Amino acid sequence: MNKNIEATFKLLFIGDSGVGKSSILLRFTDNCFLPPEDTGATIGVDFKVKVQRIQDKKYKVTIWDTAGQERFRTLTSSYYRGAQGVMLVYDVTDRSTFTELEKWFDELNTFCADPNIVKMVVGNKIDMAAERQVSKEEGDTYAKNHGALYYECSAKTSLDVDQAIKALVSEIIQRPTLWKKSAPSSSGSSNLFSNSNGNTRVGSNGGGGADGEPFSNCAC
Amino acid sequence: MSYLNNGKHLISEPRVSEDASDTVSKSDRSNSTNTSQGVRVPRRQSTASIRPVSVASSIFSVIPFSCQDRYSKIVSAIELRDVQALRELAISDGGLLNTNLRRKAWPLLLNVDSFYMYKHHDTPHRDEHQVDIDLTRTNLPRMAGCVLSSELRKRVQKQLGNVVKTILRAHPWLSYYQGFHELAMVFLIILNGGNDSLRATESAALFFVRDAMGDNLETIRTQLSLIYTLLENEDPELHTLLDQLAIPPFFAISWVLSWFAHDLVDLNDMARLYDFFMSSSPLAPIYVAASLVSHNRSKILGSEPEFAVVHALLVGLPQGNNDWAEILARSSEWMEEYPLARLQELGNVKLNKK
Repeated sequence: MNKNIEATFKLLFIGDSGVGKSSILLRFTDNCFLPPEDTGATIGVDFKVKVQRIQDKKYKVTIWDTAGQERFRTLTSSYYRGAQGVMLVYDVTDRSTFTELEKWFDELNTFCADPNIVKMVVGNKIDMAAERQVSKEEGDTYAKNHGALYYECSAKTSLDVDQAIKALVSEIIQRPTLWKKSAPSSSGSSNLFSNSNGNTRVGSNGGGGADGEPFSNCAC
Repeated sequence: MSYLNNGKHLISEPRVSEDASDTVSKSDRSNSTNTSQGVRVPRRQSTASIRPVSVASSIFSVIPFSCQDRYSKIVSAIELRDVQALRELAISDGGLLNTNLRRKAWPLLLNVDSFYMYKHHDTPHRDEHQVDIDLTRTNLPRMAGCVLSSELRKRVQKQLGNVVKTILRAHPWLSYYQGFHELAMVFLIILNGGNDSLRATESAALFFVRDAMGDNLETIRTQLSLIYTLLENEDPELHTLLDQLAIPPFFAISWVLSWFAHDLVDLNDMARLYDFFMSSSPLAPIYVAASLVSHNRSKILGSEPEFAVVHALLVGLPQGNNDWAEILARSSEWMEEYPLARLQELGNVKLNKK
């Protein structure tokens, strides 16, 4: 199976604390949602992987989930390198997390030199419709102005989580210059985030399932 | 007080020799007779609506025969208030054994004055919003034989919020970091709420993890690099692999910032490490981190040499099947062999230490 992996992509989740980055990731890789008391703040950087099938081709998607608190940004920035896609997440029920996106874009532009990198703004928690503070139109316009794709989703109900990530990956596939190169230009350690085909055994903590199937190590 | 009593019986508590309610009443008494210190205030003025939590009861374990000698030594050191002896016992194999002993030993090790009461600080700290976000998602540790009701869980989280905010308000120059709440949680549970939990956490904040509570985490970044310095000298093969893969040592950041409370699932393991950390130099978590990595060398060297795979493996190490006694023993050896000054020299870094 692993020999059929077309390419390996690196995605990065950034955004304010508590907007649901880790929940989106867990929904995508393990198809489950944990109540707040069973989750924990992400400290540093977490990582998960899943094989995603798109148009009969398999892609290994590695997702790096970062801590939201500002003081961790200088540390997490070292994980930006080599990413082909970035998801900037906010909470549609908390306007401040939306306005903070500006800072996250600054961060991204500082640490990710590649102008081709695929950006996607994602508004999470749309299941809490009554508490919504940022409209879909506003989010969409904002994303367009920043040259980013836009999606809204709910990690809790799973609505549009897979679709958002699939759209992000599909866009990366459309931009072969992002990934069809033998080595990244800037860094000396060329093998780090490149598209290592084959040999894709996932570490015990990686948590990913094969072929887009939900992985069953989740407690829920 | 009815609240306190409710809390006490959610999980049956064998015997608590001195719980926080005792402490409080003693404090009130002492306050009425001794006002010379000025810092003592009547309980009603304290912000700390921090009451016994009583969830650590399951680890009042029976002391195995093989530990009887250690047990007596700890009891005697507590009675004599012999901090040096306690420190040695806390560091050496087995540590302070159980919650009952820790409840008496930790305040001594952290030089906590159980009778000191906090003054109320009305001004909220700038990081309280972040604290609130993290509190609701605090994972409580696993305790053998205990199932935490969601009601109790919420109560613990609320008390945890009180501890963290009280400390931040009292020391507004400290900044909160994600993970500090988990560091505080273990003190809260082991020390059964109350003033001791608050003062112990404060002591840890001021004297052990203060480097992480400044304006940024740059000092921590430098400290983490010392993990690789240790490995370079003690486990070159492993160091070479991690170096080739260019894995930054940030996989260990939660280990260091939360004294592994973020990463471990069992309260006993956490408490054992806390024994060690509060009796050692503030940089001890760095040595333990390096020792833990080296302890798992065959797993790491045998894995697929890919950044993501190895990173994930490293992050998950604390949850693996680890011989903590051996890991801590190795850490102690390294702390002797590579005192901080030498380690900085080897790593070519300079920490701003007083």
